[in-house]
This record gives sequence, C-alpha cells and structure tokens, in this order.
Amino acid sequence: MFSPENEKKIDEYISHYPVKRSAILPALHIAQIEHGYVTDEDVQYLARRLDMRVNEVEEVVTFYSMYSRKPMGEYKLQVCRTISCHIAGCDKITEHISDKLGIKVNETTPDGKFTLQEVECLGYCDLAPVLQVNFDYHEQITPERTDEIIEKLK
Amino acid sequence: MELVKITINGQEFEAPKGELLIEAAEMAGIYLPRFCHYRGLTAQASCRLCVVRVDNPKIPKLQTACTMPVSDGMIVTTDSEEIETVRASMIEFLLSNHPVDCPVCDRAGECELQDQTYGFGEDAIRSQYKDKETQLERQISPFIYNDPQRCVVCKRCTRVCEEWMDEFAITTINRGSHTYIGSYNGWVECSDCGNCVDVCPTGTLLHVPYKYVARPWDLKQTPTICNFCSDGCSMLAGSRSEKLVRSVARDGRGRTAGGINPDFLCALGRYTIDAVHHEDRIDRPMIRRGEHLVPTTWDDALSYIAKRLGEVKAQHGGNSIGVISAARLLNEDQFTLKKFAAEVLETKNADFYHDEDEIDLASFFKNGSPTIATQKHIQSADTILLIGSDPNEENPLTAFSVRWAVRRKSARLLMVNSVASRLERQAEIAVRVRPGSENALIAALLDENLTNEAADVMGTLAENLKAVRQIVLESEKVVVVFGDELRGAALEALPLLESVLATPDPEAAAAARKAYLDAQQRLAQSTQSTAKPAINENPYSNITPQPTLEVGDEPVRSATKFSYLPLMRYSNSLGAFQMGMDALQTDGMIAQAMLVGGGQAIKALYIAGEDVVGKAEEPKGMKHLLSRLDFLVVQDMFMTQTARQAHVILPTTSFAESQGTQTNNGSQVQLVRRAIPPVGQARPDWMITASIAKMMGKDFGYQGAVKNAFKAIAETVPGYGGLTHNRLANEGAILVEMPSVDVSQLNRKDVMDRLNAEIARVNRHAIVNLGELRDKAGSRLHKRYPLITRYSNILPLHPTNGKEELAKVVMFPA
Ligand code: SF4
Ligand code: SF4
Ligand code: SF4
Ligand code: FES
Ligand code: FES
Repeated sequence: MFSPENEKKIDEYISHYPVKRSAILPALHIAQIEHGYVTDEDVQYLARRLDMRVNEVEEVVTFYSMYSRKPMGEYKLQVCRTISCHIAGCDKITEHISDKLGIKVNETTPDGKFTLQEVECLGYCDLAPVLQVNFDYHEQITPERTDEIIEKLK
Repeated sequence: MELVKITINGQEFEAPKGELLIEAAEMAGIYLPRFCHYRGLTAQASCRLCVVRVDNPKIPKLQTACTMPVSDGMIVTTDSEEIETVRASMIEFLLSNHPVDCPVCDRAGECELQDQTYGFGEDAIRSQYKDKETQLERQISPFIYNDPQRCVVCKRCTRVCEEWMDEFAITTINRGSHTYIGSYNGWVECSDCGNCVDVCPTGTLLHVPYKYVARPWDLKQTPTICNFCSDGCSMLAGSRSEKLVRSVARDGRGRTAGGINPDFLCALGRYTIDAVHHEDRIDRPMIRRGEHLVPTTWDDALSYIAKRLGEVKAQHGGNSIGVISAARLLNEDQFTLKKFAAEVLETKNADFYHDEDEIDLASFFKNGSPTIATQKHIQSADTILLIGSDPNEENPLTAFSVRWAVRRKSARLLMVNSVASRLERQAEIAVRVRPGSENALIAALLDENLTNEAADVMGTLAENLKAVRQIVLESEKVVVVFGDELRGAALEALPLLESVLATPDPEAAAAARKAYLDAQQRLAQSTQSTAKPAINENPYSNITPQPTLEVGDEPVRSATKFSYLPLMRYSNSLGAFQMGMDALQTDGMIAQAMLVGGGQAIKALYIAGEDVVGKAEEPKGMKHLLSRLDFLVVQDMFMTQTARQAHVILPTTSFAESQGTQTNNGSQVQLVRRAIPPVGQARPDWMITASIAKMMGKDFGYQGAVKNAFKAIAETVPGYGGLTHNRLANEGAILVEMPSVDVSQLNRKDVMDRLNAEIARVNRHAIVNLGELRDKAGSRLHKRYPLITRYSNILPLHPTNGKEELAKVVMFPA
C-alpha cells in the first residue's frame, strides 16, 4: 500500500506501543505524505493494518485538521477560529486571505498551491490570532504579515 | 449492598456506595438535567448539564454528577442560582446551534431537548453561530434518518452502537460545531437494531418507517412482548387509528414496557411490525371448491371442519388425525390445541413443529428441569460458558446481556463453538471446534481423563479444554448458554456438572476472581502484548465493575452454581413444550412424522400457524404429501404455500391483535397484550379451536374470554398455578418453575456411556471453521420466518420458490 520505507516506518511506530491502534496518528501522516491526502483506500488499509474499524479511522482523520480526506493545495493556510483568536480578529485574516487568493474557506486555488481552512484552537491563545501554514505557526498575525507569507510561498 | 450517607440540598439520603451521583440523586427524587448521561452506558460527560457543587469533599469547581461516584458524608448542592445559570447557559449554547424546527420534527412531544429547555433553560437565545453545521437531513441506512442540525453531540447513539451491539457502525465525524454523526462512507452498514434512534434525545436520528407517520401524543402505546426469538423482549407497540405504526423499547419520555430487556430491542422486534398490516394477510375464512379457494363465512367454515374431522375420526380413528402448531403461538393457543387433540379428536399426535435445529427439549428435561437461567443470571454471572449457536444472530438480547456482563461486570466469557460468532470479540477463550463435536466438551468437563480424547474429536488442543474447565471450576456462578449443537446424552448429563465441578473452596474462588481482575488490569497497563494462541484478547475486562441500577440485580431463581439457558428457536418454544404440545410426551408422532405419514397413517391434519411447505427442503415433495390427505385445515395469518393446499383456511390474529401469554427461554411467562383490533375477520387461534371443539360436542368453558383459557392452564399445567393475566399485567415477567431435576434418578454410567458413543460417531474429517462471520444481529433468526417485511427486503432470505408458484385465489365478496 505504501512504499517499502514507509511500511517499515509504520512497523516501527507500531512497535512503540502496547496495542497496534496507538500508531494511528503517525501512520495517517505517512499516508498523507505519500498520497497528498488520506484516501479511501488509506482508511481501509490502515483499519486492517492496525486492527481498527474503518469508522474509528475516519473519526480520527476528520477530528484533526492536519489530516485531509480531500486533495489539498501544496500549502494549507489554517486560520484558528476558536475564541481567543476570534476575539483578536481572526475573521479579518480569513477574509483577507479569501479576497487575496480568490478562494473561499475549504477551497483550493486553481494552481493547486494554497488551501484555506478554518481550524479549532491551535494552543497558542496567548499569541492570538494564529495562522498555521503546513507545519509552521505564525502568531499575532496581521493582514500585512499574511501578504508577506503568501508572497514568499508563491 | 453497602450504603453510604449523602446530603443533597441540606437533606440526608442513603445511596449505594459507588453509585453515580446523578443516579443517586434521582433515587432520592431529585432529577438532574442531562443529555449525555444514559443509564448503563460508559461515561461521556460532554453536555455539562448535570453540574452540581460538591462541598464535602470540597471541590473548587462545579462537578458533573454523571461522573462522580457518591462517597460517605458527601455534601452536594444542586439547586443554587449559580448552578441554574450554568445549566441555562449550556442549554442556550446548544440552542444557538439548533434549527428549532419542532413543528416538522418527529421527536417533538417526546424530545429531551424540548423538555430540558422547558425545565431548566431560559427563553431567549442571544447568539447564533454563523457557520453551524448545515449538513442536510438524509437517510443513512435502510432504517435510520439523520438530521445533523438537530444533534447535541451527546454520543449516546455511538456508545449504544458500540457497547450494546458491538457494531461501531456510526461515529462522530469532524469536530467542534462541525461535528455530526456519520460513518466512513456516509452509508451505515449495521445490524439495523434501531437502538441508536431510541436513545437519541433529539430529532437527529429518526426511524425511517415511522417518519411523518404520527405525533407522539396521537399514539396509543401498548406494552407487549416481541413475537420473534425466545428471549422475549418487552416493547411499546404504538398504534394510531388502529394501525400498528412503531415499536420501541423506550419512548422519548423514557417510558419503557418494564420487561427483561432494559431499553434494548433488535431489528426484528422493531422493524418487522409491518407484517401485521401486510397485504398478504388473509382477512376471511376460505373453503376449497375444486381448484379454487373461495371466501366463506366463519359459521360455514367451522361447521364444515367439525363435520369433516368427525367423519375422519369415525372412519379411521382419532389417531389418524394430526395437529401441528407453530412454536410462536401463545400458550393459550397451544394449550387449547392440545386439549382439542386429546379430548375431542382423541389423538396422541399433537406436536409443535420442531425445526431441524430446535433444541432437544425432551432430553434436556428428561429427568426434570435443571436450574434455568434468565437474562439476569447472565448479567450477574462470574463466567458464561457458551456452547454452540450464535446468540448474536439468533437471540440478540442474550448477546446483549453477554456483552453487558463482560463489559460492566468483568464476567469471563468462554466459547466453544463450531460456528463463528461476533461474540468472540468479547471472549476470554474462544475455541472453534468441528461441527457436531460440541457434545465432547461436556464429556471433558465431567471427566478430566477424557480431555485428550475430546480435544482430538473436537479438533482443538487439550490445553484449551483444560483452560475452560479450570475457569469453570474456580468460578462461583456459571451460566451455560447452549444451542441445539448439544444433543441427547450431553443434555441429560448437564445436571451432573453441579457436583463434579463444584467450587472446591469459595475463598480460593474469590481469590481466583480477584487474581483475574488484577491480571486484566496489569494486561491493560503492561507495554507488552501477551497474545496466546486460541485465546482471544479481551478488550473490555480492564474496566472495573461499576454498580448500576438497571440490570444485573441478583436473580430470583438461583441456589445452584450452574444455571442453563437453552437458546430455543421461537418465541414460545418452551411454552409449547410446557403446554404439552410435544408428541414425545404422549408417545405420539412428531410433526415431521405426521407430515411424512400423510395419506397413510395420517388422514387429516390441522396445522396452526406453520408454513410446513415453505420450511421444507423439498417444497414440491411436501406439497405432494399434503395433497394425499383427506382433509387439511390451515389457520394462519398469511396465504402461505401450506395454506394454499388446504381444504379450509382460517385467518388468525397476529400477536398485536390478541391477548395471551408467552414463555421465554428463561422459563419466564409474560403477558402479550392486544394493541389493535383484529385485522379483517381474523380470530385468535385459541378461540377458533374452542369453537370447533364446541361444534364437535365439547365445551371448554372459555365463554369467549382468553382469561378463562389461561385459567384452565393455571389449573392443569405444573408451574402455572396461581397465575392470572391480571397478575402478569401487574408484575411483569413471572418465573415458572418446572419440577426440578433429581440427579439421583440419573444413571451416571449409562449417560456417560451413551455420551461416549455419541462422541465416537463424530465425523473426525469435518473441517473446523476458522472463518470470520459478521452478519447482522438477528439475521439468521429472521430467515426462519417466511414474512416479507420492510426488514426482510434488505436481507437475501426468501426462498426463491416463493411467489411464482402460487395457486389461484379467487376473491369475491362472501
Ligand atoms: S441501528 Fe443499531 S447497529 Fe445500526 S447504527 Fe444504530 S445502534 Fe448501531
Ligand atoms: S444523533 Fe442524537 S444521540 Fe447521537 S449524538 Fe446526536 S443527539 Fe446524541
Ligand atoms: S432480541 Fe428477540 S425478543 Fe428481543 S426484540 Fe429481538 S427478536 Fe424480539
Ligand atoms: S483560540 Fe486560537 S490558538 Fe487558541
Ligand atoms: S449528563 Fe453529565 S455531562 Fe452530560
């Protein structure tokens, strides 16, 4: 299902835990890296591999905003929309990105570069509002800083 | 039970130690609002509606009463202004994300969100989410409708699905306010039990067949008993305008029928009620005129039957007539048929139709009755030994109780089976054996020296059998649940277990039990997985037992270590047996023999409620046998293939249209109540039989009242003395004790010899089935019924020889 190296990595993760299913998070990252998003086949395959039910895998995938069940842009722009960021004006950031890239929330630009998403609390409330781009955090974000970040990635 | 003192709102109460505060308060008459808490499900604590302040021991933050066990001296406040504000805000929070479309919601009128809002909420909602979950309503399974906007994410449904049904067919998708209940690909493949719909406090999950059918306040709800498997669940039969429209274990107001099945029903009890108003129902008596069956009046039909049966009896003698009943008919029906056979027809040949895999009751009760287990016995057992059968598919309530016992009470489940069962997921030891070799287990249990021989016959390792025997030996309460795989001498030998496997030393047994619980804890905590061959991991036993109110109180009937639950095939198999509708008790011909003897020893047959043609392996051959009879009467609800062969057809009522009693596999008799008036001109079976008897010169004295039929039962059938319909209505399920077994009457050597001889006959080349089987709960059971219901449409279960072969029916007004 995955490349031999990745299969080996999954075996390695499984060996870290007393029960197989505990390896689900790293395994899903592997799936996502390999296929760009978590495909239907990935869900079924990992359920079998980790002794889980497909619904359990689906539940985990959809719970975390780091995983996606649909093809995604190369860069995921994830704006936190939970209460601290909300008070600090995350709406403006979302709107700004939306206008700038011409896409709505949960849409991807036609060139496949950017996807805009709203996510729940990223755990950086003291530095709200927060924007996460793939694995990087950008705190106390403003429309101007957003422009800079996007330009750099273009 | 140890009691502790707690103080709620300044008043002192006693409560069982360890009980959850929310339940303890309710026992004391103080109701705390809730969504996610549901009796008997694992804690969720997500709705925060049940918050209370705990002053002793002092806890700074408000606490959720649904997760807090009571302790001695606990002081709790539940009615302060602070708490009222918090509750009101939680409700407001939920409503801010709710469509409030009660006027078009099926749940309105029995909706907990409505009730909690009236009871504990405020009337204004000050905020609105701009991007709430706006998934459109849609159907997600043949029976479940889902409107995600109404969901309060209490997760009762997902917990029920996992904990009661072991399905995990539905789950939460997404998170935060985007959360909805769904599944991997949006369509739910499951057992269709509908329990998730029943427990849903809002109008999110709804029954498809009941959608937009009635308002709860227009429903007449009649507590009655399911007519399918031998477990005998209670249900509330809801009718509107004299039509049966729904069946639930618990309605939205929390009312139940108070039966043996806490809030549980399976797909059959719930979704096959449309059979009652099915278009194939026979609605008037019919009589054969040459090739055709033509409608006639009751009087004509009955007097014709009386005349013809009288003629056959006069010509060939009483024993040339056979009476066959379906095992699902009520006690009153069976009793009257038997009485009719014995006193009017004077034939020994009266038998309920035993399916090939019906339990061999004659052997089981040969020397008297062993202690029969009830669902409560299972729920409070230390160890459950399941031999043969798959309760998940044949007796879904039993499967529920077993899961319950394992999950909540850390019972140990041991399975020895030749068929696959989903219950293996809950088993500590699951041994798959050769088909037909289950008897050998009893030999190995009774005589340790036979272990190797037995293992050889069964196609498994001797260690597995030894492990089973050891656990049974050191347990204090063992319930043996068995299917038809145990036969003959093995059944006769069962009562011997009591003395052979008596717990050697109760203290040692208690220590062994504790060691088991501790080991389970360690296993759960250890970092090394310790999988043993043939011994399944038990994913649930690391949960320590928790006192609960609902089920699992000590059963009434139990002085013995062993109790036995025979998994009979039909709702009233045991009742039929007790009523004497069993030819072996009178040396008569069994049903199959009567059918084969058609035209020879048997000249006339009276068949009540059984489709012998539909059930036959060779329907054509069976039809031929029936055609050789001089006279055939069939009384049935449906125009079955058997009915089409009859000289006279009499339409009978369904369980919903008649009152009577039914005895389940735990030997508990329960009252079936009439929910709707008879469909068409249908009459109850007992009434029809009694009328024919009267025309043939014998008045049973029923005076047209079913209570008098039951009175006759109470007067003559052992164990039923002192029972009346009124008592059953007031007290619910009542245990019927049959004369108990006298072990001293048992010739031990003879039984063991016969058992060994049986074992020697097992085919040792048979292959042990190691495959997986994950069929719908209740599905195999349903395949026994030739009904076409909404439920059966989703199962590939109808004999294809069904519809096209129908004889011509001419219908015109009588
Ligand atoms: S109907 Fe029963 S098995 Fe199906 S999803 Fe609901 S609870 Fe689960
Ligand atoms: S569907 Fe019903 S039972 Fe399930 S989480 Fe939503 S409100 Fe609760
Ligand atoms: S478990 Fe048996 S008695 Fe209960 S609802 Fe299902 S078929 Fe009926
Ligand atoms: S609310 Fe945005 S990081 Fe916590
Ligand atoms: S009932 Fe206690 S948190 Fe929901």
